[in-house]
Amino acid sequence: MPEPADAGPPRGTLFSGRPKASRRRDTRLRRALYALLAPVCDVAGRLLFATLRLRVRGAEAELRAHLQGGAPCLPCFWHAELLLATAYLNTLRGAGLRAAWLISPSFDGEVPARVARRWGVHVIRGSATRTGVRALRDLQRTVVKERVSAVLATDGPSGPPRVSKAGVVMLAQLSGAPLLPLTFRARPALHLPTWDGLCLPLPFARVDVQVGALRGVPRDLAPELLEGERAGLDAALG
Amino acid sequence: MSDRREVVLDVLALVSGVPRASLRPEQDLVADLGLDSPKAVRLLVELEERLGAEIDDAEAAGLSTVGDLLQLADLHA
Repeated sequence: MPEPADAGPPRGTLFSGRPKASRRRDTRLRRALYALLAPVCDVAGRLLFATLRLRVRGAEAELRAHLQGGAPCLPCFWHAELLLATAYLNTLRGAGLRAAWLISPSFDGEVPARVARRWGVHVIRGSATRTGVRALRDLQRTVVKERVSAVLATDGPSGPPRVSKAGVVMLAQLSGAPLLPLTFRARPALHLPTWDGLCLPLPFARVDVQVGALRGVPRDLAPELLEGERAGLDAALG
Repeated sequence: MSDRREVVLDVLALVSGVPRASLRPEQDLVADLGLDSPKAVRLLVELEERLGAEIDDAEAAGLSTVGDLLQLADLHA
């Protein structure tokens, strides 16, 4: 049989991305398990975070002044530092931070979404790679209309590690909210064998938090200059 | 060509980087003009602002070609 002619790149609509099918089946038993896991993770997370000793350096005063004015920002960090970022961002709720998290729409995202809602976080179910346009658009609208801060693990959801996605800078440009680079170091901690080497701080770990300067992306910045902004963000994240 | 169609072509050229004179109604937004997710979002946001109209998800879901965008401009006239 002859090879089919090359049809070129795939054609489709702007919204043609589909959520990646979860490897886990949506069964009644699994739903019950997840319903049980969410409160357990909630309590475990609160207990762990309560023991961490955060040492914050950098531009936190500038950040707090920004938040007290009611303005949103886009906290950015590497996916490996997700738990550390969550612990730190929880401390900013009293300073006026209203956070929105983008969590996978697949069944695997169910427990994180439930836990996040228990922590008073605005949850958007979407994936920058699987439902890209819709998810990014939802985030942009949420930041602009509801004045919440979209929290971004910039190399997520699946890497490559320590390389930010272009959509992060675009989101800052279109929402008007500045990027907030955050870096973390925890000792003692475990690094899990995941694609990102997820950092799991042990109870009573010391966590060094470096708060970077807010980085606005001008609305009229030429598209060809966005890559430079993305590279600058990566440099700020270390 | 209507002013609204002119706006669509201006925005599309800006976002895609393809010269305006090269844009054709039959061109595919993703395959021919290279609109990835960030560019597609920028396109929708810029169009909403410049046309003064909200493009809902159902409308955006049906956008595939340059011609679809031109028809959208007519619908929101």
